[in-house]
Amino acid sequence: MSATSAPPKSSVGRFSSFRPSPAFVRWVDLAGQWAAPIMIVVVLIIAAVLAPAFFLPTNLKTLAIQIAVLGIVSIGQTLVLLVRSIDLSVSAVLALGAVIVVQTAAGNPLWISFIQAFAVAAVFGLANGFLVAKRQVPPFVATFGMLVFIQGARLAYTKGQASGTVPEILRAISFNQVGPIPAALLVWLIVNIIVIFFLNSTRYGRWIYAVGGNPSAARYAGIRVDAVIMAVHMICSMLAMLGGLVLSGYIGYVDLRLGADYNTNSIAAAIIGGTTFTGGRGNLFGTAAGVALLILLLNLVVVLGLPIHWQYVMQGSVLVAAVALQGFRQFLLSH
Amino acid sequence: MAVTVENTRERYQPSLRQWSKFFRNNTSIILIYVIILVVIGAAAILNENFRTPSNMLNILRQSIIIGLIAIGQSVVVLTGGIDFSVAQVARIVGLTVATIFAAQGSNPALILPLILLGLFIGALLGGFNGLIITRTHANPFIITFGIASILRGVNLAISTTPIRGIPDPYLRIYDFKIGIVPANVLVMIIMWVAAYVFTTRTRTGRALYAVGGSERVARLSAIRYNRTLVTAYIFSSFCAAIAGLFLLARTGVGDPSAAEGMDFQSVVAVALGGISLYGGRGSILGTLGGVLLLAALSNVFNLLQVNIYYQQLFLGLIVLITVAVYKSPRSA
Amino acid sequence: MAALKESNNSGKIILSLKNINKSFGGIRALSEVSFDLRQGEIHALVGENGAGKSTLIKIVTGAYTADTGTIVFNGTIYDSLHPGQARDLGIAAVYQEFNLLPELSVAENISLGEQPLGRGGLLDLKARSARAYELLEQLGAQAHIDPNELVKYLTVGEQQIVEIAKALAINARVLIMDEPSAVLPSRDLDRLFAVIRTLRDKGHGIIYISHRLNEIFELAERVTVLKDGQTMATKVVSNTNNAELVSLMVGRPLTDMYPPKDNTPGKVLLAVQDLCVEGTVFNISFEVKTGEVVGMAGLGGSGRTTLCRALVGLGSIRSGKVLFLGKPAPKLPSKAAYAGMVLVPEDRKAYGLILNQSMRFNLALPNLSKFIHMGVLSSSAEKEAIQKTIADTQIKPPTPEISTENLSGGNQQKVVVGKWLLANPKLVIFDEPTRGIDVGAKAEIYLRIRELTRQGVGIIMASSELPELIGMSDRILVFHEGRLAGEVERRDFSEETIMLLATGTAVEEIQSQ
Repeated sequence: MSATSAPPKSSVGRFSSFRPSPAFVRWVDLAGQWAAPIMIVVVLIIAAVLAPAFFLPTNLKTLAIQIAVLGIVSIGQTLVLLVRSIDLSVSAVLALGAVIVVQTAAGNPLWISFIQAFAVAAVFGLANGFLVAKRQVPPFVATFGMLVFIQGARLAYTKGQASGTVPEILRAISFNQVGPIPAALLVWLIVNIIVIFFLNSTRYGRWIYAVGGNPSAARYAGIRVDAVIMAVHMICSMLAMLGGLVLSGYIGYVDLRLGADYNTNSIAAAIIGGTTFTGGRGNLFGTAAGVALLILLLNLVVVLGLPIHWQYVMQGSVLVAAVALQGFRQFLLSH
Repeated sequence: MAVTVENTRERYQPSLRQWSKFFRNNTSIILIYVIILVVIGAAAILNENFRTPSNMLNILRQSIIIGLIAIGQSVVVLTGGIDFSVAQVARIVGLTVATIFAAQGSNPALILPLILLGLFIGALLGGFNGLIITRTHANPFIITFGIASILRGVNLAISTTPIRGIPDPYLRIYDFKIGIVPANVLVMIIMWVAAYVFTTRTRTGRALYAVGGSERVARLSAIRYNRTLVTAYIFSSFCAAIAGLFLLARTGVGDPSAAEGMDFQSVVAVALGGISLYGGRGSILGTLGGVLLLAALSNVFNLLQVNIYYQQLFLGLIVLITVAVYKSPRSA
Repeated sequence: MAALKESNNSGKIILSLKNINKSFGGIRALSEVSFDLRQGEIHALVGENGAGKSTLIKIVTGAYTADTGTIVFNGTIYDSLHPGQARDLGIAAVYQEFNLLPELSVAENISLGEQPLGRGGLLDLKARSARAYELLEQLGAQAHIDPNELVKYLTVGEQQIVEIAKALAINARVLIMDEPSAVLPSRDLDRLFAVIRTLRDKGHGIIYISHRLNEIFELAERVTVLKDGQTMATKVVSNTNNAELVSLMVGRPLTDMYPPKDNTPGKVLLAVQDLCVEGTVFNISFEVKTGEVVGMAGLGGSGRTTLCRALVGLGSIRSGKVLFLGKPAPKLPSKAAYAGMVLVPEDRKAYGLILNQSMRFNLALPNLSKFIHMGVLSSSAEKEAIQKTIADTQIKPPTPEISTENLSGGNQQKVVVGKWLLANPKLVIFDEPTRGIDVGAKAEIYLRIRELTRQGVGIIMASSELPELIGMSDRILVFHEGRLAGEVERRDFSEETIMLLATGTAVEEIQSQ
């Protein structure tokens, strides 16, 4: 076929009358990149002015732990988004964490329960990855199905009744102070450091960015694309499990209603932080900023004395705004 | 000498081939109804409580509300998307109408205007969904998910406890019979027929299949791509609004937990019924089958007193198996 | 409508292109091209890959706008057309990628977007089927295609006919067929030809693009040859033959852009025995020695790309053997790369580069294990290797952090080539190595290839540019329709010989030249 270069102008030009100016495109691009840090500053200012109670030590500790838990889960979600996938089962895995540890703790050394918990998470992650990579199931559908299944499994397993207090060690890694900061925050920071290192300084990290950026080219370059996707899903589920353990350490007992919002929030945090749905672009610093922004907003609702359901509105709005903005930005940049 | 189409069809299609073609073109619909028959048959044989006429009627009644929502969801899934906001839309319509009734002293004169308002709210929300999705080219799954979250909050803001004060005439809407046929069954039949006609016999309905099948081909033909998508989401929320109004009449109160879980259930019903989650393929008849099957299964489980949690697990398992089996037509 | 075959010279001219010029960036795609089409005529358009056929067609359908020149349609003069206009005038094209919805019926695909309405504003399904039936009847195909059948159950040939029916549905007077036989198994060709002849007899004008010269002699009244964006000649088919057409298609003075062939082939590196791939490539056997350049020539659909991909494990091999250094070749791309067999693919943007990443990322990607020091990527080792590669391949601008999507085509290709050079391969397979690249970059890539051969690396080079093949190869394998049509030794290199083999001309005919 003819090999002359320069493909015809994009089909959008033919079908819509929308012709954005270059300045507009740049503005949207910058907005997408800097939204999170700017909003954080805005929220802090609002808090300082309207609700000084925000800055009380007890509130700050709560904030820190919530940031840590959402942060850990969001790290996994970011990795999955990087390979052009998504994980909607994180909330269920998170909720499963404490349940498994408590139920299996009786009569076993604690570390065995932990291994069991992470093994279960790994299996779920592998199943997710398998459906996405080997069966080409759309990630949204596959992980949503897994979500319902895990929720059902958890309810069946506990027969609707959760019991037991959480082992001391979970309290220790979550709630106890290490110097001025709660242990949970430390856990989050450590995980962040490990994963950032992993992404930037090992070849596996490069593979993740390659698979997300262009799976076909990655395959041609000799990367085992399916293996990467499955491994990333496993890591995500295990991180969700870790988040769940830290969260129950904070709460102190096993709660069945745990974790419902971690799906939307982990995705929103990653998207706000610049990670794209289309894969191959994103970093953990952005995600961390997104996590902080979300938690601050949600906490602001509480501190301002607004009814709790505004949290839902807030979460949803942030998610929609973030996705809409990023979607639009991507669309502009690629045409 | 006009050669009519019937003649020519017969010329190259002896009737045996016609039957085999029918089976081939409609496998998933046939499959779901066969499964329903098997399930109902087995349950009827094994459990005497199951095979009473009142129980059968029960199954039908259980499928009215979810069926309405599934109709709307089918239309969106045909375009290759999913509408996760349907349950919250149904809920918000019910709560809004109930609140106004309660505030206006249960005035029966408000019934008709409020019904219209409810439908309008549904259409409006659907239009909003559709506009965001088409204008920003964002992922429809996540957008409707987020909208659902927002609506969930708004619903809680409206009320966290049931709202009483619905005028009697409205409550009777759900129950009254025209002759021996309950009105709600009648509405259900009308809606399904209307949906069938819409998706098989109108230009816009067929445009759904084109939009879901291939954006490129749809745009190259005379189809209005964006308009079709927005219409799909408006229709979906509209059906959810009808469901919400019905729910209100059935339960008699504005229920802050109305339609819980029906977003996911509707997607399951649609997928079971053979409408591909990739879009462009499948039939409303299949969704009807999916709805009936889910209602029948739920009924069977309840009779067998299966733990509700095992039911959920089973449901999730069904979804996983369905998606693992129905491979994408575009897979390499 | 009387058959116009005898009197095609008196058929009215419905479409005429005069002095069309078109450039993309600095590259001239068409210069002073003139072409006309009569009613009731099948006018063939031939030329090598890159000669400008696609560009010309896109100007006719309005997808491109010519820089200068005019289009005359039915007497009215236009500077340019846009797609809606061309459609309304009655110009339709059928490409290799169909615009059909497989889940819908034939009748529905034909009427898509404008389905007939009946009572109550609902679709009139009978009218829709009848309309489809009528159109199929006009094409003479009503007996084998059921208007109510779903498109996905039709054969490729039948689907193509439905595409043609779609063109008729919008009252197309001019029908453009772009390599229609490329997607058809031979038994469906007769039916296609019958349909095309029926249309011609009804007075439609048909532009038929194909590289299979025998088809042109079977179907067309006139043929226009394009070469390097220029009209070489328009001939009446009955007054010409294969050899004349081929000599018009090819034949350029050989430039000295190519490094001198100072390589000495060594022992056998790759041995392919009776290989069959994916039902489109059959019984291929050849060898590649170390330090040798084996060229692969062939026109569209000849199977070269499929073969190249299969050699590195990207495609299903049905039968036959591939031996690399005496041992069975790896079947996975990752293992092939590890063993030293690499592929520089045809479409660099889709398969060669991660466009949203930097040059450094892309260059390093297959070579990461080289930079590992104590389990971690050493950025100093990486930087060093990258800088060296950039210098060696003369990538401009030489900044490793620049995103590859901002590079020119030539430099992008250098990145693709460079990343594999770094991997110290033993066999490099190039599929269209210089497609869409400026002259300067081309020369540099040829230098790289020559250096590789000096180091004893074996090269397979599949290319549509005959001068390039002749300039670089030691031997050239010519492919035709998935089979080896012949092998040409260096001393026998000539564009004509190669093209004759590639167009399926029998060996005896060639030897009589």
